[in-house]
Amino acid sequence: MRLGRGVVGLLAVLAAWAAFSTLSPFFLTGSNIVNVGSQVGPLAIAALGEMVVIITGGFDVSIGAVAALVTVVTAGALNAVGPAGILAAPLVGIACGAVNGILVSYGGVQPIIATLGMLSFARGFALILSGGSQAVMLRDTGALAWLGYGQLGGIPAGLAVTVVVILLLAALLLGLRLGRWFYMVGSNRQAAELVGVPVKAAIAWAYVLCGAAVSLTALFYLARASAGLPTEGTGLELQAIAAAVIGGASLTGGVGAPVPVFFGALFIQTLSNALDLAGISPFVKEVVLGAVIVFAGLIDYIIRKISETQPVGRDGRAPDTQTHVG
Amino acid sequence: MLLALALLLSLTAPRFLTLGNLTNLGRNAAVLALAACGQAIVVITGGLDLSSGSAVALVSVASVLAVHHWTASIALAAGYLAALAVGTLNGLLVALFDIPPFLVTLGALTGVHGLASLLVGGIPLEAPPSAQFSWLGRGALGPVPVPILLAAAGFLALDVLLRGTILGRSWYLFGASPPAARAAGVRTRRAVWAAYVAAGAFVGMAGLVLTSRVNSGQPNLFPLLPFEAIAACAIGGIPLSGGTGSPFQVLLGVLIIAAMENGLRLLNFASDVQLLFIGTLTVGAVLLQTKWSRVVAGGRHVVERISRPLRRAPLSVATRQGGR
Repeated sequence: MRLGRGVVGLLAVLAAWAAFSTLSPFFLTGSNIVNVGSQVGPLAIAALGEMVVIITGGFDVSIGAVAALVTVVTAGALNAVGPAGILAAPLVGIACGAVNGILVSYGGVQPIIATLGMLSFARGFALILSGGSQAVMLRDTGALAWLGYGQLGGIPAGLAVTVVVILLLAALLLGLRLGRWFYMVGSNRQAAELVGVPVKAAIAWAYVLCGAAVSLTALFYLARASAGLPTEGTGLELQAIAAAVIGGASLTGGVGAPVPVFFGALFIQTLSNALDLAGISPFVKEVVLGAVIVFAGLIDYIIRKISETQPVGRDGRAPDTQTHVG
Repeated sequence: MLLALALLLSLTAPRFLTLGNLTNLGRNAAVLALAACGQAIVVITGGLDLSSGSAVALVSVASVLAVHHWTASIALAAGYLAALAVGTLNGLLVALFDIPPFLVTLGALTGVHGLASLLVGGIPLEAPPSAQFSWLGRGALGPVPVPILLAAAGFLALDVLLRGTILGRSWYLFGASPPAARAAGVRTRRAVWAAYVAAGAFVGMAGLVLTSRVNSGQPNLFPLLPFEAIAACAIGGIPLSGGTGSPFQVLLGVLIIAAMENGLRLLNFASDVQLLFIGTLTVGAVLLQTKWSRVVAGGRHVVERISRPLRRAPLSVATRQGGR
């Protein structure tokens, strides 16, 4: 069943590429493929962070605002203290993630409330720091420029960094205890508690990881715009959640893997690129994105229906185990 | 909850308690109140509606487009139908396909906003000046502004719906435990669908009031509305896990948010700071509710510790028993 979920994203990408190549002659040109590849990085990394939170059964709607805050603070720090200022990015991202995580796990606040609060807090803070929707220009892009426009042996930097992130995340999810805890907490919290998983710490860590991923996404934004923008990243959370769900992560928790989620992000980026190439209005793009999100939910429903008919279906068993243990 | 009310009262410093300001506050709060009523229904069923901001935008765009061709009442009806349509679609997708409400309404948030922008090309469209069209938002019946009356009617309708109808009871039942509701013979799919349609009906009213006040169709009318509505429910003490909640709690949450926004504006804070405050207040209020008993226990412990050396020393067994 895991396989079934994972394949959806890949199939969607292939179908989209086939459809769009017939629609626009520019779509399958080499330069455009490189273009999509270099653009997919920021979204893919944010979606991977979002996926970790979704695996634990929560979600994070603050990532767009946090990304904006990170770009503003990091731009200021780079201007003030030079290259060392780049350390501000992970600091801010992880701090925001930690606040989210602690509120959700130890505070018992629902993910939507905690991250919604963080959304308006981070956006408001970014606006105040930048003096009201003004950009904080970078005096010297320096090494950051590589993130935005560089290459590593012919591969766009964004893609290369994403591959590294996928490998690290896969190692964490499969090889470390923490990774297994994420899945256990997400699929059945009570059971995880009973077998001794530190549930609260695991949930808090998931949001911290998401915050770290978002700070990396923000660095890409900063490199591209060479300025910290308080309005950056609006709608990022939407696209990231859509990418994760298309990539087979289930909003009910316990399911999700890095590689399919990457394909989910690639699908969203492809779609947006193709609609741009076809010269379609950005408003239609919004309508399409909305439809895609709902469609991802539909696919999830169909997969659940299929798995329910099988004797070892996860969803059919969950309430059973609960009554036995509790 | 009580602490939040205390905060409300402490904000009453300067011009807050003048009649003009309070009517103004009520006018502004009416939109949020109507939207929060709709949100409360969905929250009681254990769901969530993120699409109300976009739905309100669609209402304004649709009704202003229509007012250019037909009379004001037809235009308002057209806008209202648009909101009902969004609610119906949300409900169908949630109830029929078991898609998480978060995902469905997130999709609607994007999709409906795109649709509203598309209809007017992304820029606000002015409505021709018409007393009839702007009556809902700016008019008054006697001394009371129409929006406040509508909000009051909304709360009344919500109360009747939740307490007096079988449908309302089934929403509570479903929110508390879907399998139990099914076992009790509730047609759960139909009930959930109806919840989103009812939410659409309230949001449509909110949209009409707002449209008629600004007298234009704006695709970016009130993007923060769903979040403020959820915050109002949460601050009022309605748990997002569903199953409980009353109109009074919604009213309380709405008033706290409206009073805070009004207070911050009176104190000349920028809108960025307001954003920051709302986020902090919402999380703080919910945190307090979940940890209330612990906070009380902790507070009592601290008071005990501090006051122990200050208490009267026991003179004899008899006085101690008498004293306690």
